[in-house]
Parts: sequence; C-alpha cells; structure tokens
Amino acid sequence: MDYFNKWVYSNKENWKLKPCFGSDAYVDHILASYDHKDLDKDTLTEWIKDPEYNFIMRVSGREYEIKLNENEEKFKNILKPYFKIDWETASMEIFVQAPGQCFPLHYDIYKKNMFKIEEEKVHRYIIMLDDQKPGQVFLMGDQYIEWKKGDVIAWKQTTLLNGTANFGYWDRAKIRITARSL
Amino acid sequence: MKNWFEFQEKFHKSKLSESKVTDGKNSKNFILFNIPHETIQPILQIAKFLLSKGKTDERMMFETKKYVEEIKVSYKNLIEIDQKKLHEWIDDPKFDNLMKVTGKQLILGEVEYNQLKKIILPNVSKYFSINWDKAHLALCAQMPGQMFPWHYDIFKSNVFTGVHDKEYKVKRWLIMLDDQKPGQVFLMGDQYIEWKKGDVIAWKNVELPHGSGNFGYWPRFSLRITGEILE
Repeated sequence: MDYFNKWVYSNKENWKLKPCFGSDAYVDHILASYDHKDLDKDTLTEWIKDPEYNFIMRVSGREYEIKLNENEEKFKNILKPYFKIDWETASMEIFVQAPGQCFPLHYDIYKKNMFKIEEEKVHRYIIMLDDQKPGQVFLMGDQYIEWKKGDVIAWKQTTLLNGTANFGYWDRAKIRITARSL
Repeated sequence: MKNWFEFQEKFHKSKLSESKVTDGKNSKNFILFNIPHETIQPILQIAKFLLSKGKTDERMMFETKKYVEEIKVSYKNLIEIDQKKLHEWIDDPKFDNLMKVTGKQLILGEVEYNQLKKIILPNVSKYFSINWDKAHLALCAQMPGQMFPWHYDIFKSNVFTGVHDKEYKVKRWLIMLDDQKPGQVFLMGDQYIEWKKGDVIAWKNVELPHGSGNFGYWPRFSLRITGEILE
C-alpha cells in the first residue's frame, strides 16, 4: 500500500477534480445499466440535475481522480494475487477525497450490461490507501465503517446505499476495482 | 485551520481538569436524554417553516475575522495567542474548500431571534437549569452537502461567566429536532453518533473534537443551547 500511497501523493499535479455524479455521462451510464422501460432520458436528466441538490451534487459532491495511464498494467499486476477476478476486463481507478468533499448517498448502479454477465458475478472493491483520519466517514447502509490503510471494503452491489464525507484536514485516497469474478 | 486544530488539541488536553462540565461517561452514545415528541414537534415545525420561507442566514462555520475575534475573547487570560499567526492558521488557503465552501450551515430565523427565543423557551427551558437571560440559542439546518469542519469548541467561560476560569459552569447541548436520516453523520471523538428526534447530545465541551456532515438529501435540523449553569 505504501507504494500506491506514495504514488498518489507525489502526483498531485495529475489530480483532476470531477463530480461524483450529475454529469451527462452519468445519465447515459444509468440508461445503459438499467433495463427499465419506463426510465426515459428526459425524466432521468431532470432527476439527476435537480437544482434543489445543486450544492451536494456539484459543489461538495466531488472528488479527485488520478488517471493511471501507462501505470495501469503495472498497478494491476501488483494487486493480482489478492483478487480472483478477470483482470483483462477489470476497471481500476484511483480517487482522492479532499477536505470538504463528499460522495453523495447513492445505490451503485447495475453493472451486468457493462460486463455482459449476471449482476451477482460483478464485484467492486475499495482499497483504502490511508488510515482513517478524524472527520473521515464512510457509511454503508446504516453502518459506520472504520478502516485502516490497506483494508479492502466490499459489499453486496446495488443493494446497499452508501456514501462518504471528509470534514477533517487530511486527504483520503482509495483504489476502486470493478470486475467480474472468475 | 489544521494548525489551529493541533494547537487546540495540545492546549485543551492540558486543561482537562478544569473543563469537565458534562459527564459523558454516564450518557450512552453522548445522548443525555430525550425530549418527548410533543415538545419537539412544534420547534421542528417552526424550523421547517422558516426554511420554507427562506428566513435563513447561510453561515460559514468558521468565518476567519469573526472566529479570530471569538478566539481572542474566549482564550483571554488562558493563553497568549499570536494574532497574526492565528489569522494565518484559520485562513489557511489549503483548506478553503472545507472552510469557505462546504463548511456552512443555515441559521434559521436569525433576524427574529428574540421572538424565536420567546416561542422556543417555554418548550425547552424546564429541561436545562441555566441562566436563560444570557443563554444563547441557535436554530440550525445542515443542508445536503454541508459540513461542520472538525474542531474543538472554544472556551466559553469568559463569554458566559465574565471570568476565564469557570469553564465547568458553562454547558452546551445540541437537541436533534428530527430523526437521523441517511447520509447524516455526527462524529464525537472517534465515536459515530446515532440519534432520534428529541435526543439531547452533550459532551465535555472543550475536550472532544467533533464534526458533522450531511451527504444525504434531507436537511438536518438542530437546536443548540449554550448557557451558564445555575448553582
């Protein structure tokens, strides 16, 4: 974990601020993920961009993404021994939640269409790259999660609402892996 | 702000024996007691009404100029703090997003404070034995996306008793006006607090760092009371 941690904090110039939700891409992503006939794009766009929630969706609900670029394969190789997943199609992303940012409460969207398999075979893991610091919160359902550096958090996808916040003074980095199990 | 937080941490820990005003050990999960629904409901309705009418004042939790002034008064005769350094600590641009953008809440009915006090007091005064003439009440809403940055409360003895060494006589309570909703979090030290409508949260005021956030979709209403305990 120290390797990843060092990489994250020595690459601050590559941190790119982005909203957790609320973009047009998110709407398209939802439409591709749900086989729900009554879900039309206009209504969905209205819901996702509801101005009543502008502040949480566009101001505090943001995080930094760090593109892996040429490091992706190398990083995957380091983590391969720990996860029995199809690494060929796995998605690996690194994010930092800075002080004052939150990840709005949400259900994960379905991923079966993305991986073209049954939903039960899609797994998501969050690897925490820092020890939990004061003011850093992760809620899974009604459960408050405590973590240490290197902890891997997993949950039953799409059935538990979850969200996070950082009202302390320390950045919180994580790796997110989404993949189909072997 | 981080530097100020660390300064407080060191100093407040050195003053523990003088500040034990709330017996947190006897309260479960920092919930001291619960005020019944029929008493809380009218206050919640007032809060919701004020919010719906836009009678709100959006406040930074720690607006530099105001907070520096408050610190100056609160720590008078307790410890010397270099004002220039303090200003730099509070206004550290590294934490602008937390301190100036998301570290906010709504104060409800600020302009009608005296009128509001008259309505609220008959409901809650019997639960708290304090000098109500000088007590401070704040009806607050933490809106979706807002946060209360991690902090230690500042000393309050100077403000409420007129002297610096009676911190044990000042007490603060937070009354939760509604049930906890998903995404509403309150941390006290390393403990995650769960609450129900009417719960009164109390803690050893200057001893425990705390903060809160709302990453759900419902406002979180609370009534904060601070006052001097009567003999």
